[in-house]
Amino acid sequence: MDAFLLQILNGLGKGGAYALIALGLTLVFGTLGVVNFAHGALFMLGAFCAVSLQNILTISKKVKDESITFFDAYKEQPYLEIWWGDFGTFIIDWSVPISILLAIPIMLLVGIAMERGLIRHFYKRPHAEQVLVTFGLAIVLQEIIKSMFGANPIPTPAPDIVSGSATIGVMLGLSADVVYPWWRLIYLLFSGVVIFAVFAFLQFTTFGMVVRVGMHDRETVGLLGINVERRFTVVFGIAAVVAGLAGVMYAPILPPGYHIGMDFLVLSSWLWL
Amino acid sequence: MKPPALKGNGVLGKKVEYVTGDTQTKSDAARASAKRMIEKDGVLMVTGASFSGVAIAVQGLCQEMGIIFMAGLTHSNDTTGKDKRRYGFRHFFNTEMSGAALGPVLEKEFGNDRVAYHLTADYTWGWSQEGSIKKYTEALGWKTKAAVRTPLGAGDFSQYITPVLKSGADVLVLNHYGKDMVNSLTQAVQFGLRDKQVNGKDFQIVVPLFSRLMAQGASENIKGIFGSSNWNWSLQDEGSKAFVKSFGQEYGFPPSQAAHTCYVQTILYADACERVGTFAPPQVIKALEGFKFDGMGNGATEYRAEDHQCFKDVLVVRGNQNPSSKFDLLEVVQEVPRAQVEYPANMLGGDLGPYEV
Repeated sequence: MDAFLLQILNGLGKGGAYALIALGLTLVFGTLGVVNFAHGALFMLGAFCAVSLQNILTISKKVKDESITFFDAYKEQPYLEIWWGDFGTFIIDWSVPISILLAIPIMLLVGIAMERGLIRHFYKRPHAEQVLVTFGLAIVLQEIIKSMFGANPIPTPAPDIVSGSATIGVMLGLSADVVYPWWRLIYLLFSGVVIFAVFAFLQFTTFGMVVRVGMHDRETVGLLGINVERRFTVVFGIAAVVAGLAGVMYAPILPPGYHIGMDFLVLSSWLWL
Repeated sequence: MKPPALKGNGVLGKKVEYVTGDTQTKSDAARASAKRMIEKDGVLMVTGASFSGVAIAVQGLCQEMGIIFMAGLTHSNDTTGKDKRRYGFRHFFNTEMSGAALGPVLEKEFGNDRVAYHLTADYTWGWSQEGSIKKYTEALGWKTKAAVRTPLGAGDFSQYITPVLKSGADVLVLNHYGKDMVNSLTQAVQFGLRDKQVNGKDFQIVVPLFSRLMAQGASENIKGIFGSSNWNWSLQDEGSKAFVKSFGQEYGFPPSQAAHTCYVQTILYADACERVGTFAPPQVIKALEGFKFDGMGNGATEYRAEDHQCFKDVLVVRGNQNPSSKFDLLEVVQEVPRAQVEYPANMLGGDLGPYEV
């Protein structure tokens, strides 16, 4: 029973990431009719938003490391810690959750730029061509990230307070041995909240109503004087934000590397299909 | 290096030039890259590989094409065991030597009543390491609860780690390297394994093959964890100090064990050419076989003629609890003497093949 519960949680946690990526794939295919194989790369870009913010927050003052005499080596102390002491340390510790704030506008812009700059030229082309061009785009984005951040995965830890494990066995009246990492539980909750938020946005807002109607009959919505194309562009941006947030929050679970998006894309595509 | 034949004017008076290729840690890509180097660029020697599967594939190709392969980071027994080749040489140690070096230290630290659970990368190196560690730990009296194979590059190891929690094992052996090791160790710590008590003992994690770069990736999680290493930049012999100084001045950080072994291999090849006065592979091979040298960081070393495996001291290391710098991640616990890790030349099988191809 204990092992079964843990494997269920493993499945749900990883399934949460796949579901968020597949949600974006579905939104884009449903609204624009485009098979977007660059969606995994958006997940990867989100994870690297977390890495970037961590790098920015830990910009450090270099002081010669006297313990190394063979060559010139330097100790680094982040300026945030020098200026703000414990508060600086706290901000660095919470860099992953804070990077959500950075990822939302960045991913929205990336999504809109991707749709306006490339994807819209392929709306009326066969799916095979869409797959080829978006797959190519994913490879280009991967190589850009590789040249900027290197090929090695970069540790991006969760805040200290949630880096340990929850004793879910005790909480559920099972064995005390049944523990599960806090961050994975948070990720599970987070994916549920994001999926619900996107659903609610499409179901209960006027914007969402127009998008849903546009998916069924784009021409009629256009005849009513509504610029449905612009709304679909925003939907593409939202799909990019969802994939990006999935990536940001996954960074403490799997240190981001340039290939992380491709690893997730394949299974997400099956989920979407 | 002692004794040195190189005079500082290139090799046999010729300037050394090189080409590089990306193996992508894939055997077919590595073979294609090495084939291009040999056929198009006309290289005389191939070195490198950061993965045993790649090393074995390239070594086989080099044998077919009559080009010497000075292996880089390859730790599987097979490289100088069942897949050994006349044209292939390995300075790096292997899993048999890791097991022989680690066994007594694990016994001293954790006792001989332990239950181990192995997570093993599912390819030649993982199988080799699992076999060697099982052999030496079971000889101590340890029991092996399970040995589970994990796909290379699995990324998320949670589905493999959760069964460990309730398995009754009190030691987790991670037969993973590079990115896999960073991920599996980090996730094992996240799942609270290091805080557990099983069978009345503190739960332990062992990473039989360690490197500074992996330690850097795994960050805080490596503190106190035992493993073995071919070489470490903190060694205080003159050869290591000179190499670390030169490398550090160039790159701003100390060399890894992979950088060290590739450097030593290149020097050894160049030295052998200089000694025999030719680049002709059969003569160079004979010069390397049985060659004894010193001053390269691991004490007195010998390239055993029968299997082209270097025999030298092996390091048992532990993740440093109190690092004095950001590079000081591994603490050398013991320099295990060559005699303790040496094994009979025919133990791992294989056939070197001919000198002339």
